Amino acid sequence: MQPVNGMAETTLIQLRDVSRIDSNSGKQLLNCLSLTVGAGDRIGLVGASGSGKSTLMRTIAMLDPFSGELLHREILITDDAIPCYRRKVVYLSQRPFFTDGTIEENLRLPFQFKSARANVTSPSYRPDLVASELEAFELAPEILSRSSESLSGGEQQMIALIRALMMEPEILLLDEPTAALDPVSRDKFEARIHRWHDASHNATNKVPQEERAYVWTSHDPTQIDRMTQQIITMNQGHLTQITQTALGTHATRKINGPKNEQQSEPADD
Amino acid sequence: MIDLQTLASTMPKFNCAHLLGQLLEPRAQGDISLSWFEVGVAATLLLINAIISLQLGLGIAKRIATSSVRMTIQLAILGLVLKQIFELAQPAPVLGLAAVMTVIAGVSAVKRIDHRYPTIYRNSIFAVWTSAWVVTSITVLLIVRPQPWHSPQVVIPLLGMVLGNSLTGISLGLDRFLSELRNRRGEVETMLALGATRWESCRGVFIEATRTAMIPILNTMSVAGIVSIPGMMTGQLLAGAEPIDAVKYQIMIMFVIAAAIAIGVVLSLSLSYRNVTNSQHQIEWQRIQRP
Repeated sequence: MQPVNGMAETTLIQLRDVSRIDSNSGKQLLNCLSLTVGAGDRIGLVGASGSGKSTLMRTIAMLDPFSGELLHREILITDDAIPCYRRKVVYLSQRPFFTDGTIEENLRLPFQFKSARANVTSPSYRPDLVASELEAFELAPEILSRSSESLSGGEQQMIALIRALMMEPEILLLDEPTAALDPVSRDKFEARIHRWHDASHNATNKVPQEERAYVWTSHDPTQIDRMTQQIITMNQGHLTQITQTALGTHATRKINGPKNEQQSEPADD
Repeated sequence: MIDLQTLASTMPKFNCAHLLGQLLEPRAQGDISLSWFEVGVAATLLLINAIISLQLGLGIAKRIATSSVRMTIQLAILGLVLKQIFELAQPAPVLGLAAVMTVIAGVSAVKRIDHRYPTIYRNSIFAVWTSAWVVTSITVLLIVRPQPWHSPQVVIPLLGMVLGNSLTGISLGLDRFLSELRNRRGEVETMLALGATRWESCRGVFIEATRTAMIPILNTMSVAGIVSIPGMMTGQLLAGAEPIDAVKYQIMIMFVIAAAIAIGVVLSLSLSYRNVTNSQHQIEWQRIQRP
């Protein structure tokens, strides 16, 4: 079965007939779902609470067991490669979590994992980069020596984003990232994501702009309009509707089920 | 090689009853056997507890009564079984009793755990069995060396002591590991999402659970001889052993118990860790449930 969307030239992630069943309740959380995330995609994932948005995001990050296929750059991911894959496809939860210790220790944490040392091309911790990120978020450098409990919700989420960006991911999976933030923090967060996605080719970043994508879930329609070009609606574990917005063609199509998708979708190619 | 006298029963002795008994009728030197009447004197002490409980309305009088009766019956049965096995002096019944004790210990270790996963009983029994039997075998065959090797007077009390301590450690460790994993779910998953392997994400919880499980034996070791005279040494002194001999045995048994706990805890936690994670570096949260 072909994925129901698929507008970009480079395919980063491909889900094929992915299902997930809650083994305790027997409830079908994801129902034979196919989806493509291409380079440059800005996907908004909407739907009622419990429709499967978070489950889908967690599945893309391979945080939960599922059936079906998930391909990263057209390759199936082996078990051993999953930690490295998660560094490329970073899931950011609605509420950030930190370990005991200072913010700096928490920012260094991902660079101490085996997966950080396994790959010579994987970035290392850069204090200068952290300093400039903090400045961009108008956070004082002293924050590094504080403990995570002493930070506000907004500050915590910004630190979590900085930590994720330092790993130079290809895809960010943003699960209601600003739900707990005040409008000022939210604007800063959105601006940083835009800047990350639009980063120019001549930047020193190892991942060029066209290789980046994100999936964003939100209950705020105006935020989805601001942040995404393609809106995917979920209902009871199915993808029910895909809409192109903003830079897209504003074309909406209904999906009556995973088997009935239309092939004549206007796409960018 | 072995002086069985010095390894006499390690069951708790009722010191007060012993003293009262001496008041009641003079005893021959070295005679430590109690009559049932003397045991009854100790039981009356519990009446004081019951009266206090009734007066203050603590509502535990019934529980005092049931646990007293339960303890009496359990120990009486143990006495009868041991008597039979001591008389048989065959390896099979000794090993049979040891196996039953081990399985009960493994099951009891899980009883007090709030969160469980499907194969927890199997893992607990396996961990108790391996740790207690390896350590007890070394103690019996290399250290104590009774003749014959299966002397129930040696094997059963030693194994009992090792099992009792090992089960406490495993119980504490498993309880802490599973509850802490759930409490720190967000932290553990964040680490996984940032590229940690399953071990890297669980390591902190694993270490904390191990530490928690080892605290009781470490406390016991640090106050041994200062605050308390350990049970085995008490038993040997009552049986008339030389204090230095009793001390040597007690030191040996402390090391043995600590080793059994350490092996049992690490084994049970490792098995649990493997059972609640998978090779895709995921935590199988739905497996961890309240019974």
